[in-house]
Amino acid sequence: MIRPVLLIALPLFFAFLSPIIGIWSKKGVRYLIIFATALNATLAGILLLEALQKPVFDIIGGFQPPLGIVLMVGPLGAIIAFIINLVAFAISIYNLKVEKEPIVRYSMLYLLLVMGSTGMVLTGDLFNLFVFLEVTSIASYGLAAYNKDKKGYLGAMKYVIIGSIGSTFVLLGIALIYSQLRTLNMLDIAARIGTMDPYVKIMAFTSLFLGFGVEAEMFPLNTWVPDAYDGAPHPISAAFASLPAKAGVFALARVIFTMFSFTNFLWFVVVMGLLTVFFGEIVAYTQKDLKRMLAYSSIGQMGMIIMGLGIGTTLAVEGAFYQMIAHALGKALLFIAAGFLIYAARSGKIEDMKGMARNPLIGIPLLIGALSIMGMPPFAGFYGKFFILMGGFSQGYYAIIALFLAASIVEVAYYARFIKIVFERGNESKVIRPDAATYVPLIILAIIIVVIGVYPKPILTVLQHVGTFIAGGA
Amino acid sequence: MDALTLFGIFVLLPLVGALVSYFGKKYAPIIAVIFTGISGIFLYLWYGNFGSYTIDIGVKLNLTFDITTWFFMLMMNTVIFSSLLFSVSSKLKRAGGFATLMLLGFAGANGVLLARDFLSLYLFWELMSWSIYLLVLRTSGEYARRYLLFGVLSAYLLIMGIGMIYYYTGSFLYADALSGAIPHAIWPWILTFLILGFGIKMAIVPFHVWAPYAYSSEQPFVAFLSGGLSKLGAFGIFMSMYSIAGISLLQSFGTFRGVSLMGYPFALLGAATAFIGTILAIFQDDIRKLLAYSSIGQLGYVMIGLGLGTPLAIGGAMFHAFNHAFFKSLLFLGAGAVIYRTGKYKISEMGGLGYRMPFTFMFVLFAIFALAGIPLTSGFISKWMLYEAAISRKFVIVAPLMLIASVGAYLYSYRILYGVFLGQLKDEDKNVKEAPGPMLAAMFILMVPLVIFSIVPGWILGWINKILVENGIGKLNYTTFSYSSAIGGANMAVFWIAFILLLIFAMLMFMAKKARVVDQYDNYLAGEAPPSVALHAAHNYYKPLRDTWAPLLKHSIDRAYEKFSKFFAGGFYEIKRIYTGNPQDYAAYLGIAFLAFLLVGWWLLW
Repeated sequence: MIRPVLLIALPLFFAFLSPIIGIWSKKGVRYLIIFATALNATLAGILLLEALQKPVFDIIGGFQPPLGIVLMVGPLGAIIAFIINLVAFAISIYNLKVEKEPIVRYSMLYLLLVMGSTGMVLTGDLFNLFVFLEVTSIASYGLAAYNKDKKGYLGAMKYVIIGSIGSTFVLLGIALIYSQLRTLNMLDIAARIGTMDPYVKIMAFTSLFLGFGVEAEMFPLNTWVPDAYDGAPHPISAAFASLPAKAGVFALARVIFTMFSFTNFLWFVVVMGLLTVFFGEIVAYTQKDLKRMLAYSSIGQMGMIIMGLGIGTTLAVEGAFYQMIAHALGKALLFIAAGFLIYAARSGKIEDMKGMARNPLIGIPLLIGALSIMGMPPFAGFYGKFFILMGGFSQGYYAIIALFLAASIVEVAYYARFIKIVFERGNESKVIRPDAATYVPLIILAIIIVVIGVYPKPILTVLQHVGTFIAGGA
Repeated sequence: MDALTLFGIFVLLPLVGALVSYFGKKYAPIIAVIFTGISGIFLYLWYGNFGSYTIDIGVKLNLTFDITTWFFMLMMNTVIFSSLLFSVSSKLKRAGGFATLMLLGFAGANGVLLARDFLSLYLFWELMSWSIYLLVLRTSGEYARRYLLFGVLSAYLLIMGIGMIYYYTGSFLYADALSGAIPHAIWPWILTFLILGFGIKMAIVPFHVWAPYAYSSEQPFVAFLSGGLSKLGAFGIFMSMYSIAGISLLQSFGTFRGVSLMGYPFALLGAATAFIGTILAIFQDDIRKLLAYSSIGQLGYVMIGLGLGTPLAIGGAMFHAFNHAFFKSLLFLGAGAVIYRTGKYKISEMGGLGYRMPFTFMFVLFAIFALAGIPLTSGFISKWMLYEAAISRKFVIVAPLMLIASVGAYLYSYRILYGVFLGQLKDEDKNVKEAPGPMLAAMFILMVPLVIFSIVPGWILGWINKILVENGIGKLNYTTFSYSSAIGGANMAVFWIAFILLLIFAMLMFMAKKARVVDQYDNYLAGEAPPSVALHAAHNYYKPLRDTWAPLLKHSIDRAYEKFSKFFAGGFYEIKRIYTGNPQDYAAYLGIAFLAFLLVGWWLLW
């Protein structure tokens, strides 16, 4: 029996421990974050097993809810927290490749990012959610600019502008809810949401939806994505796609299902999801720069998740959660591989990477990641996509699904173009062998993708609880 | 036999084999051959041991092992076994990856054949699809890209069909589709989506443009792709038309001379495919492309049969699919052996290889007989069944197109025969040896069923008859050596007796005359002896014919697709301008989005 609060407290502890260790060993700090994230992932795994029995409520500081802050961990929250920490662990191995100083601050910010994202998933209090959102965002701003070059600064600046507007919207939404209901506990809000003035309710919903939509990369709030991903160091791009984005979309799910149980507004969420997919995939097709392409592809994937949430049937939401897991794993893998390719080609342009992935240690995980993102079985991405599509059909969204599939063909087109170039024969002499810090995380992620794709039963058992989640439970 | 045994032998075993053979280095093909051999043995043992099973891997996979599945698995297993056997000696680069992907494709194909619910169908369909993609990627990224786009298009068309069924029935089971929940008017949509989706894998016009590219990859793989995997399209169309929808539902959409209006357009499409594929095959100089277009054309015949939907037509289609599996993979392997020994792809650069590779020549010759449908061969029976099916219902468009395509098949077959194996041996090919043993063995294995079913078509017609009866289509009139239909039929026993008599007669004639073997040059040059003369007229082989067809040939579906994609890509660059890179614009988007959301929300409330 462990307390969920440990998942937040431990990274915080290690974050503040790292400057102390950094005094005598810079290298020690790098291994410290590997240890911290591994510990966190293990704890999250144990927490998941507990939450499967019944939702875990952790009351902070002895104040009883709804007055005190509470952590509310259902099976779905636990599995997303688990995946976030697992991916954070894999990425922290790749962090060994970050050469730029100051590595101590980098490690601190990275752990804060992990802690903030985990907190966003675990919390059961609306204001606490905002606090964790801010922690995540500020850590992200810092990390986005870590490279200290023009690209990094510009990306971070755009991220700061859009992100802080988004946070303001969240705050506005919270204020509106608090002014009407005098409570911030999510379950309490859900119980009394009917007493809100309907116009204010819509406004509060819109504010929260938009605010978390920024982190969830929803159209048209995702404009920061390409620049921030492109400018950030490679492990951080991987982390952006899998940590704050998943936390943001989970917060979105909390807003939609746990707090406001709208039914007549959901088609609008589906349309927003479709637009996100559409613009994400189409713009990704036009990109010549690998990391930007992956960033736009990430937008497309997040749009699919938002669509799944908006469709709102058990099957579709199950698919959306499966897709969150698959995308966190797959996109992290692709960004790490992209980091290697950029390092090997000494250029971010796809056309310069001819034949760079011909080493099987890079090539096979890269193919697994790309196929998983395209939604091919037996990889993780298959079930999510299939369930979302079938959920959409069961609600009769024919036209939307058809447009979505058209956008998916565009996605396949640009991934196939990318694969074609990186596997091209020709300059065998220039192909570099990756080192362990690169291929170990790649192989870890690839194996997880294959395992949960071939045998989805464990994940689907957890996701069976989606029914209670939609109905407003933990 | 229980669910896990069936699933284990036909799906998990190839998957395990895929994993094992990756680490087998250069022995990988041998390991893969052993694994496919094991599933093959069980396939023969379990004939008649049919039943339905469910596997739970989190989602339920409903599998059925019945005669239809068995029939298609038989082709799949034999073809992949001999393709892998062929690859044992073809010295592929990274043979481990090759064997792995072949076995993955095999597992996917078996899964598609066993699946009786849409989820497992789609799952295995995509597994098969991407393993082909990676196999093509081994040769060329560009070819692979073209293949993948169509592969995904096929999958998404299937998704549309599956989704429509799911909307009405709420179930993925094939059996539930006919429960009456689906309105009559929706069925044509569903069937069109499914048939086109499966048709892409069969390279039906106008979705055939991927095939010539994908078929230019490594020959052992292409033999499996053309011989084995493309039959999954035929299987899928058969299942969706005659098992999921059923013949009575098809007939309820109105009939044209006894053929459902749902099937007739696809028969026309099939006829167009047979015609276009054959015409294009005639003019190819690259032997791989020639065989690719020929493959497209032959599968058009299968499509015709499935579209017409009379027992005779479907029986013919099944038989032709079976024949095609063997003779086309045999041809691809034969081409592979020639390419392996000479390193050349162009027919015009080869010639006279029959003297150096007599066994390969013999096998290819038999395959060509079957392909061209020369009486005596099983290829003749299947084509004849299809002709009769079309002629007996007086289809004046389908039948002539088929006949023209058949003549075309003679033309391109002869091009292979003459251009590669007959005529003058090139100087640089003087040292070419016969193909290695495993290659010959692989080709021999493929030839055996062709020979057997030429003499006793009744055996295979028995299986086909069972398939037809089980799906309630009707039955065939057949005996061990012949079949009969309303307007004729064919008796192979008569053909063979006549053939043997004629052969003896010809032999006697031949023996009676004293023949003297002269050098090739003496024959052509009347005793004059210049040092070297090119006597092999394989260059620009069918030029006069080509000139005749030129106005038609200048239209290309390939180019139309390229224009189409260019048009869209241009539009994408316009859309890209939304991401201006200016944070002020981005902040404005946020404000606009907020207002828009709010207005929509309030409007909904109001």
